[in-house]
Amino acid sequence: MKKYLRHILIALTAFLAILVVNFALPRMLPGDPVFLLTGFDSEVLSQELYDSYYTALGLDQPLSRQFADYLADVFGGGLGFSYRLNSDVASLIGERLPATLQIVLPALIISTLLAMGAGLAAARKPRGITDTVMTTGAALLGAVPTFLAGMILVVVFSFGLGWLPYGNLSSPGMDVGTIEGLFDRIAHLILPIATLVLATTPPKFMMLRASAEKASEEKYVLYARSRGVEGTRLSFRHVFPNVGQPFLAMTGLNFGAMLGGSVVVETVFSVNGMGLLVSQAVSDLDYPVLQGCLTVISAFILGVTVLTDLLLLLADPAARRKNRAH
Amino acid sequence: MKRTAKLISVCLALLLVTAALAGVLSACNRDGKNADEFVIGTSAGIEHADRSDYDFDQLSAGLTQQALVARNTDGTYSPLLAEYAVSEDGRDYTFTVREGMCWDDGEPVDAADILFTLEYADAHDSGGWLSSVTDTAGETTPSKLLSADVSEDGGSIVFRYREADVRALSDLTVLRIMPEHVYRGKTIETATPAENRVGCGVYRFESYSADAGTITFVPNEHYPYDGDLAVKRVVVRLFASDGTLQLAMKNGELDTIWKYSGGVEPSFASMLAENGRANIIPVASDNLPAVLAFNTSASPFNDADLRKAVVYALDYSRFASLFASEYAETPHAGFVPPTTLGYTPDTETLSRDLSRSRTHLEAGLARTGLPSLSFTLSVNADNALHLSYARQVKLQLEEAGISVTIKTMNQNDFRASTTNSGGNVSHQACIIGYTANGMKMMGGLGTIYMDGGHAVQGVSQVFDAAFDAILDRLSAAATEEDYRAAAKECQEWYAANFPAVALFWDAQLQVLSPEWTGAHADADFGLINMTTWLTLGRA
Repeated sequence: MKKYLRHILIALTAFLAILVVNFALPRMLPGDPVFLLTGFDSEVLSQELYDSYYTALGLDQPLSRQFADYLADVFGGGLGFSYRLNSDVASLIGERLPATLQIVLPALIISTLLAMGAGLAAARKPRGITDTVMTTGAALLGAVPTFLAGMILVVVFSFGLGWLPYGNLSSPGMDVGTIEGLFDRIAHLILPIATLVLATTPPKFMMLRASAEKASEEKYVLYARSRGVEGTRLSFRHVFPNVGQPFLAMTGLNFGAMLGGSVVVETVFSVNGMGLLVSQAVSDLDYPVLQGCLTVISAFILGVTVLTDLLLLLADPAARRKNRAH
Repeated sequence: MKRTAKLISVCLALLLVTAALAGVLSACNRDGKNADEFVIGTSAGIEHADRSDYDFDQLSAGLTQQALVARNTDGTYSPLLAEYAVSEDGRDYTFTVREGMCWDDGEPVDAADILFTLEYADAHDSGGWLSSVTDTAGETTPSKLLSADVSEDGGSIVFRYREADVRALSDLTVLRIMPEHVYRGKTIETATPAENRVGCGVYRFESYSADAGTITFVPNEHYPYDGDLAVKRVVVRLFASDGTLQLAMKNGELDTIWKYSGGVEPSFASMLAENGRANIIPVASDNLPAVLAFNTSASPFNDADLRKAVVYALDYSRFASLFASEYAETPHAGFVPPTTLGYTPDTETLSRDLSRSRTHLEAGLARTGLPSLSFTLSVNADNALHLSYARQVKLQLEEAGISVTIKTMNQNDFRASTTNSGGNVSHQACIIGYTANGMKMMGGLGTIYMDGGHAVQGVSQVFDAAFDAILDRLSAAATEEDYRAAAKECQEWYAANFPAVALFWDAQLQVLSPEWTGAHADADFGLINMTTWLTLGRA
């Protein structure tokens, strides 16, 4: 438990460090912080507007005051203001985050289950046909950039076979609150989720397969085998509980990679989510939006990491025994 | 019993999965086109579909908003929101709102709206119509108009110009009239989205769905048109990726592609034409997509011979074959494209002449005392095409013994080092594109990009008495003849001094599905314009 509390403390320190970097970057980068923090360039800003932004951004205040205001804004839920989009960053993220989570969460669950099933199946008979096919497939898939995987799926399933929509989250005029709307939403989500699953499953599969192969030579597995336990039961009841910890840790970290991957997926499938917001903010040099997104993504990643730590603690047989003894 | 229950549970689960699958499958591919729908694809980053969104504002210019006049591709003008008449001395323009013109909320459009639009532009966009404008350097430009008087019946307005302005109509093609009853006491930023969507075009805004990535427009029932519109709904599909947008067009999901002040890439247009998915409509335009501009106030290009050494070492036909469409032309030394008002074909057609380049190089090096010609070529790293132009420039110049270092910069740094807006023009030469609007500004002919004294542009940093005199003549031209004479001088000055060269002249390529016919090409707004909607029909 002490170890877990230490992890929470580390996560909080990391988050604070991110906030400090976030605050310092636009003030340290070469160029005028007014242009960086508003996203406008000198061509479109009159002196009058420049002065008003300078004051509105608090750049006429001492640095300590600016940092205090920044922290108050972050913890107050505002996350800054995008002058380019004329909206506070929290609202922008709030509008976009649900769309991103509709892709990322199912993709996380599906890729985890797929990697688990495939990894354990491949490790049952190392270098057998199943293992060779799956490992080769995973190696190939791992080498395909997410953008390309998405485009291939669009070309084949949308424009080639005409089975699935090529983008967005729903058809025009569709109400997602109805059954028809729900099915329509699912149809629109299939390809973006599949893309993210294809991009994030191979590393998890490879890792679990290697750990499970190693574990299958352990005495407890041999003992279970000698008792006649085989196949799925052996993998899930005896192998997985002993190799699951690093897999869970990786799945937690994978969440961050998926949020990153959503930038590409949302661009390919024109989904109006947070990934697209980040992508547009990069091209528009909308620093407040980038700062806000970075804060939220960091908070998510650290939150998931802390949660994973807790799950690992609960799943750790030694830790459980220790708790019971107390 | 237990076994039967298990069997029933499995069957029910299977049934549920099958039903869900059937539901999803029936929902698949519901995004197809309806027969009376016209689908426009765009990768413009529209965030919220109202006039406060720059891209939506530009898109709606061809659907829901109207300027007083429109410019045709042959350089002539057609009435749009108003009929117009010009006085004999060329100083008075009378605009009479066309019969029956109404805002889509039912209010009539009148001349007071036109006056309000001028006042709004002066107050919020440095319009300079009725008020003088003072720039950041403290220089004051007097207003273009002495007065704008609304007639008693409210149907007409007379613009009285300070002096005859041959480009008056050109300026008005992009000034879209705003509804006074909506914006009185408000700005586009403070108005509600619904208010920012009120227009007077052939269509009116119907809906925007961020989830579906669509904006839809339906016919404006108040628009005075007796015929039957072929398009009953215009659907604008928003794409985040150009790749998916192009695939959708290639697969017949779209009827056209919209890009503000631009067309599609030539290679993509050819592919569409080959697979029969689109007809290509070249629209002659005043813009220059590829320019090599010199900083004529700094070494080494403050020497005209060294500029000419570069100009004659470039292979213009190679640029056209690599990057331009089949409608491209080899540029002239006079710089401006043939669609420009006042264009003269009399300046030399540019071509590679290595011996001429060498002569100028030797003369330039002897005069400046430089051992060789080597320079830094600045490029905006965000523009992949410009990077390709830069690489080709480097390759060709190095064959002529001129050394080039390509310096890539982000957009902000590029602007700061190549224009007066940054306060310190530090580039030696750069690859840049000039917009049709920019080419028309001030005296026209791209002079804002050359003039070192221009408050914002001045890429070529020209400080030359002869050039200033030409600028004065362009501004003072009271008749078209005067303007053409000054424009000819300007192009001859460009041809003699080479402050910049166009790498090629090209048309904007617009694409239209072969299912439709009758689209009208507008020099400012491409295919998406009011006339198109009235003439468009099923092929």
